[in-house]
Amino acid sequence: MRRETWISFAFIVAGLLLVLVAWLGDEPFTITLATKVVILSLAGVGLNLALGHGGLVSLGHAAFFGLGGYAMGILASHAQNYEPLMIGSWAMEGTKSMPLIWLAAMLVAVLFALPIGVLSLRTSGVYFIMITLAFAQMIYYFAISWPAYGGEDGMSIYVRNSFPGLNTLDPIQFFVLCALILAICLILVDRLVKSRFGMALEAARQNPQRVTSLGIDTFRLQLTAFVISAAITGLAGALYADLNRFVSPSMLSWQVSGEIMIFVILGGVARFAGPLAGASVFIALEYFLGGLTEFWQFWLGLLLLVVILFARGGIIGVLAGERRHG
Amino acid sequence: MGDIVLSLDRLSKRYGALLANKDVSLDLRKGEIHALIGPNGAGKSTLVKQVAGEIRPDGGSIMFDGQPINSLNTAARARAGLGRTFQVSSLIPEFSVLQNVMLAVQAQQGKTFRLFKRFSNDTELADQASGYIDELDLQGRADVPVSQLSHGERRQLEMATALALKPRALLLDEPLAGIGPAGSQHMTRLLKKLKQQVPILLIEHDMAAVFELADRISVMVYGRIITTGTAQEIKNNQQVQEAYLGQEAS
Amino acid sequence: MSLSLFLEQILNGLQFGIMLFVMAAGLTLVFGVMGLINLAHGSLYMIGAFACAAVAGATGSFWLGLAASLAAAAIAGVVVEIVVIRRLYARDHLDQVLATFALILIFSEATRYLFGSFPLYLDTPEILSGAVTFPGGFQYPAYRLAIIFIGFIVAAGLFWLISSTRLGIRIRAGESDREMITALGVDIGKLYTVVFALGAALAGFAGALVGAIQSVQIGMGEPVLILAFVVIVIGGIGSIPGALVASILVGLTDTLGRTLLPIVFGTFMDNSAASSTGSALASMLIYILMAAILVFRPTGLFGARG
Repeated sequence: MRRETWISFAFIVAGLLLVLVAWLGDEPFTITLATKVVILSLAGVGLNLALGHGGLVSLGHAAFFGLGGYAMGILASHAQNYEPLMIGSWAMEGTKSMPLIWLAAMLVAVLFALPIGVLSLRTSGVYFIMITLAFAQMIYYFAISWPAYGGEDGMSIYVRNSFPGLNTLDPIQFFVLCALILAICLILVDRLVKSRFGMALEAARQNPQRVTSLGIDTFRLQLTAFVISAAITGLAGALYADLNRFVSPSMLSWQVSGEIMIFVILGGVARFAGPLAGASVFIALEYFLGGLTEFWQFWLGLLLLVVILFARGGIIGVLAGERRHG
Repeated sequence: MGDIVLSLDRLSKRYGALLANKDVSLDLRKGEIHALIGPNGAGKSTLVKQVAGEIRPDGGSIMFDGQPINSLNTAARARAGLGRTFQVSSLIPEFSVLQNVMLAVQAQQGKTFRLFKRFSNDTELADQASGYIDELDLQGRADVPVSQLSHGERRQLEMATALALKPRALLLDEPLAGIGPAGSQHMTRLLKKLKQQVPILLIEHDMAAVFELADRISVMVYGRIITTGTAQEIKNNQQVQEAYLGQEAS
Repeated sequence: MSLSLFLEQILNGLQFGIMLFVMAAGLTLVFGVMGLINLAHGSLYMIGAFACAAVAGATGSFWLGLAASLAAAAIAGVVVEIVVIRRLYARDHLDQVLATFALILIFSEATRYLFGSFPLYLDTPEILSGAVTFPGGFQYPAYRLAIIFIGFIVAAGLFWLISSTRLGIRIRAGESDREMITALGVDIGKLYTVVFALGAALAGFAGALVGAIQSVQIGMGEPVLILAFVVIVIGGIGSIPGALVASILVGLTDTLGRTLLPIVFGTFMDNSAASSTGSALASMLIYILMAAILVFRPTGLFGARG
């Protein structure tokens, strides 16, 4: 097995052990922190597909993260207030069922990712970065100025949504649920990037002219990757909102886009466990540095700068001791 | 002879005051290598780009397999069976030899949107790709990344990927450039073998190779084709010697 | 809507737009010449505003503050260029985005450490504190009018700089051909530092000017930065005339949209629904404008490169 595989594996086992210890020692706070890591990793897994494998530097993935969050918030708030959700003249019941909410979150993310992708992929390079950022900002401002669902203040859900057969309010049960989803998505994305589609996507990142000269349509490749990527990040958004029982425009803000990108880069671009390592380190820094100093983001910034200028390949890359594109 | 695969009819391209191609007509028949030679700046690259679909001609038409292809873009011409290699080698740099060819096989099959079957375990792709790799004498180098290949090997790999598209004609832009004498000999042998399968329109500066390989040679000077004939006819042609070979010798 | 309100909104839009231009000009120059996307441009805007507020607060003079904003932003620009940015020119855009994102974190936190989390207030200078009365009785704040005026002077100055000075020739040469400019014997490292400092000074200047009509606070730069991106996308990357046209377009669209849309919706909806729908849509208007322009011109109005 390659060294990277071992490191990824060891990393996951260590994380699970930590949660096990926390569970046995009855420390729900640690479990909740671990759940946060898992959900943010999932958002990173989504972005990693577009950014790492597709070379699509999206600085607007907060849009999909937040839309997933709002999908959950809107459905659950209608359910808890017993008000039907009116879409035009068509009425729909809200729901507190997680699987339905997840489906809705992914669907909403896909519906937004399609037009955003079609428009953004007309361009490339630095235009793509700016345009994805701008579209995310558009949705952010819309959420702030649209008063129906809390506007700037966001909205709270009283009770966490339900999953058949589980008590989702129990931290460990919710953790296991989120971890399973992450595992499934990790495996699916891994399969995807190693498929014919994934190879063509990878090739298009490295040399788009070449792929075109083979007769493959790079636009369709990249749009597909962008949309799948958005769906995964949207799912993560729904889980994140469920974890906090709260959704607000801050989930849509450009800082969130930057942070999701940091998970991917800090961990290592286009690496299997990269987003997981990145999100873990990010949350650990937030927790430990945040306990030491109010200005922890200053140190985060410095660390990030050092990683980018000197340690290309991220955490997994440095540990695995081999270069990969970055 | 007969069986015309590719025919250019009075192609013209002008860049401002510069007439890059003027009424260029030539054809490519089954089983042959048709070489296009001429001094630098004669307009050969412009012609190749027009045939490949990178630039649009100002006038004239291109027929491929009996169909006009003027309105098709590059990708569509590639799908129609017009293979090509580039003057500057263009491969996927982080892929291995095998992966590069597998990608081309997959493109030829048109099954790129198969999302979950593992590419590396795809024996159907790998088997076909290996065939092309053997054909271009790259066996034993299949798992080497492109970045570690020699210049000559990259040329061979480009040919392998071009072949994997199952082209009905090949457009080779200076396949012998910069690969050294041993590489040249090797490539010359390969091209001889290849022309049985696919007719080749060959742009090349290496005269020895051209005379050895080409069934017919067209000479382009100042954007026009001044003559077309066999190697012997070209060698003995007064006009060519003045316009081109004489110039080289001096 | 009365004519005077309409005039006021036009002037507000112009003021907003021309400040966006001062911001976007630096960004687009830095991208055009060095090929760098700089997210920390908004931090330089913030540094200018804080420097102005601090110096004006200490000395009582807005003008000293304004000078300080130029100096502080330019110095911060030079330091950042030498320490970090020049290592990024050869990197891909992803590294540039992340490194400059890290710079935002560093600048924001350092500013918070120095000045605390509460907004600072910057008063408009005494002589510009009143309103100007136009013929016909229409009044408009003198300070805002002055900003519009200063903004157009800056724009004119930039056009002159690029078209007629030695530095401008080098900048244009650097945009078209990087090797050629080195071959001409220009010290490219120094040129890059100067261009970056110029962009930084402009951003800081805009921050100080706008700081007096809004509050001076951490994070004030990023919303403006993103709007400047929209401007650049619409205008075409690297094009100063494009940035000017797009800034005014964005400024007017945004300002007029916020006033007009609720009124338009009010003609067929009840009042509260009209104002909420109108304002929600208005907040998206410039992005819709950007999308529409992208459909027809993917490289922007004045853009050449793809």
